[in-house]
Amino acid sequence: MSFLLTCPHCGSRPVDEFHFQGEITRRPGPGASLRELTDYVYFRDNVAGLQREWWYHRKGCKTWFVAERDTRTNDVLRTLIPAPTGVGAPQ
Amino acid sequence: MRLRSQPTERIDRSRPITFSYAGKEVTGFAGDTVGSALYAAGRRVFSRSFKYHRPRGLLCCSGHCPNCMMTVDGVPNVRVCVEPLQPDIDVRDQNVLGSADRDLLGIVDKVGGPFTPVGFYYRTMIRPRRAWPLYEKVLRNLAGLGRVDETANGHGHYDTVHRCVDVLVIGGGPAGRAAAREAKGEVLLVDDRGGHEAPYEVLAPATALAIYEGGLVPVAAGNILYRIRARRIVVATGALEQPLLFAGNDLVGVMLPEAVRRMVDDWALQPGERAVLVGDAAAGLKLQLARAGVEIAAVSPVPASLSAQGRKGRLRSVELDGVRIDCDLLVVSGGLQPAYSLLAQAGARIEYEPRRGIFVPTELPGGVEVVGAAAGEIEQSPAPAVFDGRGDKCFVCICEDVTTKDVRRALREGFDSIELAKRYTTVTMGPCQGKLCQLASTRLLARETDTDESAIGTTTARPPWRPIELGLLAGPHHEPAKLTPLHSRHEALGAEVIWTGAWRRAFRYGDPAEEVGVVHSSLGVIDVSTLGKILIEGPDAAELLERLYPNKFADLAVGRIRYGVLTTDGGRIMDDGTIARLADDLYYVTTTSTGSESVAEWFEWWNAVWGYDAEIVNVTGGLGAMNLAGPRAREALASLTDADVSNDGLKHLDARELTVAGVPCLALRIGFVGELGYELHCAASAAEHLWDALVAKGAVAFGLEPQRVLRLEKAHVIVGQDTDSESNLLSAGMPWIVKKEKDDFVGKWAVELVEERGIQ
Repeated sequence: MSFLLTCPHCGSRPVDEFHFQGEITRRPGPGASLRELTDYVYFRDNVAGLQREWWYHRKGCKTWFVAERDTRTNDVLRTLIPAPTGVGAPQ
Repeated sequence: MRLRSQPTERIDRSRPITFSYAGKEVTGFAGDTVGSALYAAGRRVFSRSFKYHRPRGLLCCSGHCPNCMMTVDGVPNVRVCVEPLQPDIDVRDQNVLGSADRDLLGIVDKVGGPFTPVGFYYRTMIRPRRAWPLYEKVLRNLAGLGRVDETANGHGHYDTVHRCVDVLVIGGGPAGRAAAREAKGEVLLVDDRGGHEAPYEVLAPATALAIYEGGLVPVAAGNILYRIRARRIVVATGALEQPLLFAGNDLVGVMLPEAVRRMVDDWALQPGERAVLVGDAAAGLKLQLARAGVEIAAVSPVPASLSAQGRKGRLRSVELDGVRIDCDLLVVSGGLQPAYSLLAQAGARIEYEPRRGIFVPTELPGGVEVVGAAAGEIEQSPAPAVFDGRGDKCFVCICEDVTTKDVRRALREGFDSIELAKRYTTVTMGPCQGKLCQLASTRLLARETDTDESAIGTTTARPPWRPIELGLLAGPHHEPAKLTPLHSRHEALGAEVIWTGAWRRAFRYGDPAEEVGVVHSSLGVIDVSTLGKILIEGPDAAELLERLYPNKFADLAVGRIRYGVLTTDGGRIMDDGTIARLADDLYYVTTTSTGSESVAEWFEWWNAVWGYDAEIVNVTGGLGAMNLAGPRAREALASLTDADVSNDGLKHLDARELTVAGVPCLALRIGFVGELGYELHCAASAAEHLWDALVAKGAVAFGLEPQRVLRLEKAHVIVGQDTDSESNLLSAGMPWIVKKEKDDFVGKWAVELVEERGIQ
């Protein structure tokens, strides 16, 4: 894995500067069923295709951002700092 | 012995270089390789083969084949045919019992018979099971390559250099040079032979090892690994001369045309006395050989039958279409094969073309181009896949001593795909990585199974393109340590210092039991600068903490401290520490010594997830901290500050900004080690001054070991030591910290489930 990733602050950087936090999940609110909670904690879609995921520029500006990456080719279509939504998942 | 001066020779006869081979002094010239200098000194046998210990001599002179591997200055498996000669190096034979000339293990070739065919150890050495370690030891001594010197700590200093260029050209032949000249922007050409004068930058001698995604090309140049990023990569790796498969094809004296050309043109060496030239490429060398005074016994197109006979591993004669010709040099090649490995690694498709008998790269990935012979610009007719005939062994793979008989045997046993045959026979898995045996083994399999080469295909090309030392991958020895601002004090006190994560910490200064006693009876001080220290500030700071911790922080009064434990949504305990509220919108969080970075990331991540307005700043490195503990702690602190530190003035779990010994501090009154204690946080630059003032008041330094004893006595949990990845708040005995009335916090469901189902 040696693709380049564009940090919204720092620009195009080698992927080993970043920490990968996995696909974006939506954290269920209070009162969720056990099924929903288990899905959230343990299950991932693991798509072969376009995936929205969290990245952290650990060896750089220390910013969390969202990337849209094709998991089959590692082509990163875009990266962005998500707008605040307050609901536990960026839009 | 050298020829008289050759017009293109690369050696400088005015500069002799002396080195040691097998303990004896040998002299070559500047411009020699180790191999050419040894050949000039009369050496013909350069190594013994992997399994049969057959004598092997120079074959390719291009650094591809394994025949000239020796141990140079303790580094095993050096291909001396391309290793530049340096003064005073120590060159030795490897994989021999005795010497390359007289190797006692050569007996394996004679009597090997039933014990040496491919896969024999899978069948014969399985019983009794317990004896395998013994078998293995014997086998390892019989077969193999050079030995790594286990006592040496690496072979010098390795380093890594990062580069970005617009265009990277791999290969310095005519096609590569032309591509580099035409390229726009910052152009870099890497060449595994010598450099050349050019309007673009040249890195040589240097070998591109692979092409990874994102245009990343690692390049080995001496002890430096370049990690080069290129927008455009032009592969001009040329073609590889292939050996032919015939009985006796590994005898000393059988050479590829390029080897002969280099020996005469570059190093003024006579490659033999009486030569047989087979095929067009070999015939093209008549001029060189005449200049070198070699008698040409025969020149022949590729014959219908061919075999070589030798004595003691050295070529004595060849049989060409049934006619025996005495000679000590057979120049022959199976044609050229584009060097496609880098392209295949990058994702190109490799297709067989029967007309010329080669694999050519197609469907190149974006950003990667190929030019010249590597692209398949080769004109030739395919050589026969194999020459049948009785006689000596016929090697498909000279690296691992795999013969045509071995491949046929593997086929009979059902290993009929190239990938299976590879794993069973190890063909293409040796040091040449298929450079000289990939095409031959595919063509042999195709013939034996009566299919075509396209159906057989190639094995997967994997990095690195040529063997490299592990040191190049490891890079420079680099083990950064974090030192606290009080480190010099610990050293002065003669502390035993240990690693805790990346930190160097004082484990103890003397007897840990005595240090424990001092804290109980009088006054101790411990350096806790390693604790993570994080500031959280902003309108949403309280709400963020409220949702991350199982207990409450919104109602924490300014100037007060509360203990907190972080868990994941799965319920696992991550970290713990104290949280002090310094202002309405400002909290000061401490973490465990190894947790500062992961906790700061955790806060920042949830801050991004929820979109809160809070700033998180990790100030761990900027601050020093020390914990003053023991019955005399208050008295000592009071004598160093004007502030009211009485039991009412600075209550248990109070946080207050004080000036202690002239140093502005944040004082946290917490029960860190069970005794009355104050944790003083100050600017790192003032930490030594504060420490000295406390010591002057009678505080005795205590280390990590007494601290653990003290915390164990008090039953204070140490996260990461008393907890593991399965610990949750209830199993760790902290039900009191869970505020069930809170709507939500990270880990709430998990703790509720544990409560419902009981601790397992």
